[in-house]
Amino acid sequence: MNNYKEIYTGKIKFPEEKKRRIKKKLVKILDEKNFSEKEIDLISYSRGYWPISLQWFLKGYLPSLPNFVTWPINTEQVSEILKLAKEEKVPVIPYGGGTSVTGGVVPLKGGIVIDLKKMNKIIEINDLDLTVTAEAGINGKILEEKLNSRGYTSRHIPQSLPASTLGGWIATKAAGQFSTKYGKIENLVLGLEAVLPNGEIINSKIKPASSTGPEIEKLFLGSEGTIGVITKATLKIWPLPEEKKLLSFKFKSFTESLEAARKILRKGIYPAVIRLYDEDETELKFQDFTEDRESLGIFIVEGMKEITGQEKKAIERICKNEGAKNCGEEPVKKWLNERFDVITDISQYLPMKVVFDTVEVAATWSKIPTLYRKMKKEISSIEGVLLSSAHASHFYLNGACLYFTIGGIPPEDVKLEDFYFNFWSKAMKACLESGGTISHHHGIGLLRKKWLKEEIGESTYRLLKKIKEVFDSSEIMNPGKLI
Amino acid sequence: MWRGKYRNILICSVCPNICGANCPVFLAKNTETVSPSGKARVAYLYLKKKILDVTNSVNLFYLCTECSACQIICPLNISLGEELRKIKEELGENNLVPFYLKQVKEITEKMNLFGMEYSEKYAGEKEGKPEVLLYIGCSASRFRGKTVEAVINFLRKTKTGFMTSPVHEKCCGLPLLQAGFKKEFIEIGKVNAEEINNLEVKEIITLCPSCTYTFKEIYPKYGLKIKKRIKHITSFLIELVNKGKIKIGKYREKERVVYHDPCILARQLNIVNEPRFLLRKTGVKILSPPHKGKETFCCGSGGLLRFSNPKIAEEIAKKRLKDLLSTKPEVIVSACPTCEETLQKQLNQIEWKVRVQVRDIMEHIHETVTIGN
Repeated sequence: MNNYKEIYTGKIKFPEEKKRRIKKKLVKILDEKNFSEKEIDLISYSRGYWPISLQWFLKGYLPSLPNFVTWPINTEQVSEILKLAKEEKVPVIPYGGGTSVTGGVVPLKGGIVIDLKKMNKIIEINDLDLTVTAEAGINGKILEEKLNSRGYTSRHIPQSLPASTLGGWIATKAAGQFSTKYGKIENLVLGLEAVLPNGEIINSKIKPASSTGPEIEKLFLGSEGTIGVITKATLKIWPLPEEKKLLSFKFKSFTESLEAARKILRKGIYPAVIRLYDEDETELKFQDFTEDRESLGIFIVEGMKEITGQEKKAIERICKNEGAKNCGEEPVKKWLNERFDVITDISQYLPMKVVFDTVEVAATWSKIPTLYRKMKKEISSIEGVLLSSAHASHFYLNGACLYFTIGGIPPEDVKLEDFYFNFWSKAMKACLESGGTISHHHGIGLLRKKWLKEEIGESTYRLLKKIKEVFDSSEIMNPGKLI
Repeated sequence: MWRGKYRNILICSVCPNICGANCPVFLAKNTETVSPSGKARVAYLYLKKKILDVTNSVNLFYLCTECSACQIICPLNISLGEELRKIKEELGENNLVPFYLKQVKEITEKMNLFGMEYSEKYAGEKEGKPEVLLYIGCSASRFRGKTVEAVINFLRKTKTGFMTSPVHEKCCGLPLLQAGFKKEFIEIGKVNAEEINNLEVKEIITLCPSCTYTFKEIYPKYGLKIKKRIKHITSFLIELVNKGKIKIGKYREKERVVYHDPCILARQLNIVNEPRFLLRKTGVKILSPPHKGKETFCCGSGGLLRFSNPKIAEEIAKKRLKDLLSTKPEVIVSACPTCEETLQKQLNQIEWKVRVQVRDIMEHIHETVTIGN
């Protein structure tokens, strides 16, 4: 995003008559209380949680504002809004919890925000099928609490859980902290309902698996609001685990901790949580438990008592074989206590004018060492970068996600935005050259759009564009994002 | 601003709403704007004079129950309600408090949030040589006659020397502060402090957690000092039990009771176990609702929400009542007259017959008390 100034173009100025017409129709669909064009509402739906936009916000820049904010209460209303938007050729920005860190909900070209938060009912918890069906605007924490009170869990616990929504998870292909055992959201969704830009409502059958040709509804996974609005979904759920074992180890290096994780997975053991911190991040977060330049690894195994005990033993053995020393439960408890806290660091960075972001990428095992080294080297080489630590936090039989935290203060003659987009460019370039994928769970949004073509290849990119056109011929859906 | 008094507003404005799912107003209204971070964002831009729509911004700042549900989950221990109060004080100084809260200012003349008659209603009660000032509070005198009678009976029964305010009882002043009338709050605070300090009582007991909190914690922040021990009625009861002065009998053994923790009592005064201890002594079965202890959920009447936005206050009350009724209780017990009034009012609105009573802990206990061991 070199042309970042386009984000601050302000809302589209419709001719007054058109504006009045749209307003009248929206009020008819929703009624006054679920519609707004008040300044305070327009501002509230202008930003999301994109770190660079926080800096702009603090400077008092008012970003692109939508023209209208709507809070539909059912799928039919969403359908009516989309029909109207198509007819009037007005952009539509679906909105969940507003925690997108990639500019995914910035109303770049104004238009109508559809906030799904009032569509937040749990429709069914099915004990036999082990599924939960809920409306897309349900808050993650509320959903999880309701499930827990009935003895279940979705085990999709992203850091954004207190604020993000079911629909947002699906639209961005989110990952939770327990994904190593239970999978990312794309592995958890069994069916969904969505409204297409022409107002048509599609519903997929809830099924454990099928062989009925390509599954169109799966296109909504990671679609970032560009092909329609997700209004309902069915997720897998699990009975709450009988037992949890908390383990942690310190390794001589990040390379060795990664090697231990690879061997654990290779044995068919899937801890719910594996988090391995590189030497820099270990020093920042787990200094009290480690010596100089060590790499800390934490593990949570959970499930039936008979199994967790065995898994714990196997993990201990494998880690010890890699030369690790046991650090007990404390580091894991520390992580559990702090795992939703994003504000402590941010409240320290911002007053110091530190420009920061997190970059999550993924690769297969053979590429991980190069990916890590190259990204770290490239980011660190930028003048002004003070921090480029990483951890690995979502693991697969075939690879893992690397999550970098980058922070720095731009040199005097470098603009904040140039500094920010420069470290992103270097990070993305290094990732692509190392064979990594440019996003593991934050999505593309506005921020990574520029690298998507290189990520998926030119032909596939063209095809994706065509698919988007089939859904959204009027180009009203979340314009400027993803593709 | 990072070093000034609005630092915490600034922090909340760049937080992704970690506390959002705790905030009763957000859960009732489900819009980004009323979320804690949403309010802080508008507040920040308002303070930076970047917002044109001042009226709606100001209205937004009052959409808060000041329940501090945000604080208990905040890694930085920030209560947005307390932070917004700083803006409200400036609004008060500049005569910008919304018109619908102007009635709050009348406390300075009428002495009670609900009118002069209530400031006199229980004044002048006295028993023996008064060691205790029974401070009834605006809500109890207006809405909870049964509670007040129970307390007075209890004090008489236990031969506690007590008195109520001799002529008029003056509001503790918290609503003034919540509306932004800082000057008036300090004025009433001074009068209260002087009058109370001149009494020969040793301690004050209040029925309302907010009054205890205001006298004990807020007054000193504004240079006001009450030189008496200040206690909520539950702490007073516990002391009597612990000293062996009273005994609570198991006279209510068959009752299914759900206890609603008042926000200020649980979060600010840290009184969570005491009411349950007392209830247990009466032999009841204590039920466990969603949101209890410090994680309680506001009844909707916290802050001045019932004046600034009665509809949202009612939504919150409905939600809280639903939580409590989900335990299938026979009795809802609380220890705050405002919560009790709010829940009772909501209960009365349920169309289908629910045979559930709302009681203050004093109403629940006083009949079961005997003197000595």
